[in-house]
Amino acid sequence: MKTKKHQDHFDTRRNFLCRSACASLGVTGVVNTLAHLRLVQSAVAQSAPTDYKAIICLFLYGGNDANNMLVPLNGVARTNYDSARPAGHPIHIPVSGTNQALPLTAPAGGFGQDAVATQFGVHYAMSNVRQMFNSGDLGFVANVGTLVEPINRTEYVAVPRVKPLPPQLFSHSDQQLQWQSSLPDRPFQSGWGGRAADLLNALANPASSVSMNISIAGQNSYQVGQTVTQYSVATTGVVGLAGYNSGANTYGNAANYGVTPPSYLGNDAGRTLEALDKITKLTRMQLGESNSHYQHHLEEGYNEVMKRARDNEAIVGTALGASTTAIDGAFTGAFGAGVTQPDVANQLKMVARLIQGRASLGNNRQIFFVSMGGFDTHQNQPGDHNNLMNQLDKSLKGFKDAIEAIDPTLWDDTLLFTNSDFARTLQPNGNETGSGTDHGWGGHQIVMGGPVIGQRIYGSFPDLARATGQDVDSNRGRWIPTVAVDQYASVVAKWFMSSGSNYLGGLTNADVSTIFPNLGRFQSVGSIPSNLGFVNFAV
Amino acid sequence: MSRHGLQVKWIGSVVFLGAILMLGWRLGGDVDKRVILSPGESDLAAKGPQDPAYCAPPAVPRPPPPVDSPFGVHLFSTTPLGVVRPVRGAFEVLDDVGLPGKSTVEKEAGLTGGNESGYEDVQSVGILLEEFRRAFGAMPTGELNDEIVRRLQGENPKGIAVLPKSHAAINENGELMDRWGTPYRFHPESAWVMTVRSAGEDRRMWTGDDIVSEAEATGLVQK
Repeated sequence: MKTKKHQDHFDTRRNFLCRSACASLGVTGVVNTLAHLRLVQSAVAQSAPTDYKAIICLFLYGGNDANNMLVPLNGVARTNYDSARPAGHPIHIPVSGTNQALPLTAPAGGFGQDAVATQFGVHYAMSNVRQMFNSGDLGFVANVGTLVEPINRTEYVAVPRVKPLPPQLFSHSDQQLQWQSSLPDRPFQSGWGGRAADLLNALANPASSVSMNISIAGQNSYQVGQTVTQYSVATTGVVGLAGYNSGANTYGNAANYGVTPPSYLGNDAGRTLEALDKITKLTRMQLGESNSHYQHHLEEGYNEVMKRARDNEAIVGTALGASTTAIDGAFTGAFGAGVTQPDVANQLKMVARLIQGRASLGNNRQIFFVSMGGFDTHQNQPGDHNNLMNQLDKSLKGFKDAIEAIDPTLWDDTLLFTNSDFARTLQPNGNETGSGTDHGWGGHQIVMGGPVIGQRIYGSFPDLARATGQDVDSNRGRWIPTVAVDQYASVVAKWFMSSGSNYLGGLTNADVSTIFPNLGRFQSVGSIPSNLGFVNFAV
Repeated sequence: MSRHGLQVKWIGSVVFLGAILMLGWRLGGDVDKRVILSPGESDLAAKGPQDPAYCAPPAVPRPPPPVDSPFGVHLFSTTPLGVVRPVRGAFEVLDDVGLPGKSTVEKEAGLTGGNESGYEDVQSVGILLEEFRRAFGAMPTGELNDEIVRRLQGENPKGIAVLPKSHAAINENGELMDRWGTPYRFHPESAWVMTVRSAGEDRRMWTGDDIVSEAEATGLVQK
């Protein structure tokens, strides 16, 4: 028999409503949990990929003059090129004669850009790029740039303009940031490489020993994520913690962390580090804590960061321990013996070494960031851009040969793609020998690797007409992009998050939207436009 | 409670729990294992989120008529109502710069502005840009001289103006010229930094007598 108290508790309408509300919340929580559990189960049920894939973002800082990297040799595009950069001008690249463009061999069916040109060439300093293009290892994607929404010239010059534009167009740092985030219409929070790593790391790299995001070019926006922290490696190797005495073994102390007492250098850095270590140990001893715990969260945090840094140093150091003879030989072959190699070559060399030691890093999916500067050629462009194209050309060749020297099949697991702030004005900024070009917008990019369906020009090559067509509201030749960064990058990302023709277990098109929230403004998220299919997923 | 009642209660509980499980399974949806390249898939082509606070135009653009202001006739403005908002005191900065085409006598008579050198002129233009940045929140968008001048004259989303529509230092192409008659060059480093370059007395850019505004943050931008 129910007591009065019991009866009141269950039988009043107020109590009934209250309990119903609580129950409904409880049911919501249960259902939600079940739904998530199912997703977790599906993810866990899928074993980690057994294949290895690496993507390399090569950022050309300053704004590469892509108009002279990939040159039309005939058609209306050539006519317009000659109009803006007439024969005899130092920036002009002729079809024939001294410093002529190196003609590319068209695939069966042509380049697919017949409306503007049927023949194309590359900068005269890019003989290796031409060779790799013709052999099917390299392709171009035409007129890529930052966009908030698709926009054409009519919409651009409309007063008032209805379509939004990326903020601070033509500004270096803003455009660099927008390229690396792929989100020009919102404040920066993460790069698309960082978002991809956040999404993939746990799924693809269960045995990971070091960060999925490694930069050889220092800190960057591209690899900024929420959970995966980018790890910087110098071209000479791991940047060790200042103060520890490494002794005879380069990474000895890092590897022995927690096993043997660390040895400190006799300089100020070493003494400072030793003092700090002793202070934290002292508080731990005074409080009677075990060796693995610190009383204060800051001390615990400090200890964790230091430990992770030294662990990474040891792991990456191990990865770099293999012979570099084959890699060095590949780059020497590209540049020639005795030639000082540029920084970008050394960065790519380090990427090759890390790919060689991938087993130590424990990652099935790895993202690298490298960069090259000096492309802001407002002046002295003929000489400067020639040097840049030459360095880029040989570095790409050295990288390809190095990867194939490690293991010929590795080339099929490697995809390198370029980014740059913007292209440059087709019309030069002066007629003197030392003249250059100014900031543009859409430009052509290089994609290279085994999975790339090379010998193609993807996207839509502009007709190079000024004050009409794809030009913005000037007559200088600044092309409104016809391929958004989101579209270009998403092809790379889809290959990266797949195994064969399928996404890795549990991943869906919704995850593509997580990495590229704006992609749906330009295309169907789940498909790849026919003129952007530069990756062979079956490789 | 009778035995029959207990059985009904247990069956009811099982049915209820089963219903919850079914509902959870239903809400979980199928795991998408479609091939990436399969055509016609995805209903996710809907537009992504758009935040009008950043770079988006007004939701309902209104036709801006030509604006006749005390500072000249603006052919158009990107503000919803075509309003130009001059920044108080900014226009006076331009009164200091040296004007092209003035004779030595006029220059000595102080008719070309208060600045004594091209260096001071470049700094004055830098101050104008800084005034614009403070009022607008970022440097003007663009790189070419005439488009920067248009932005400074009010052709920007907020209608902020730090330059008059016409001035002796602005040529017929709408370009702001230095005291020797050569248009300045503007170089957008970032949303906060823009350097100004004068060709100097030889009127040739990228030569030794060029005058460049000081920008402390320039070195932070990779180029």
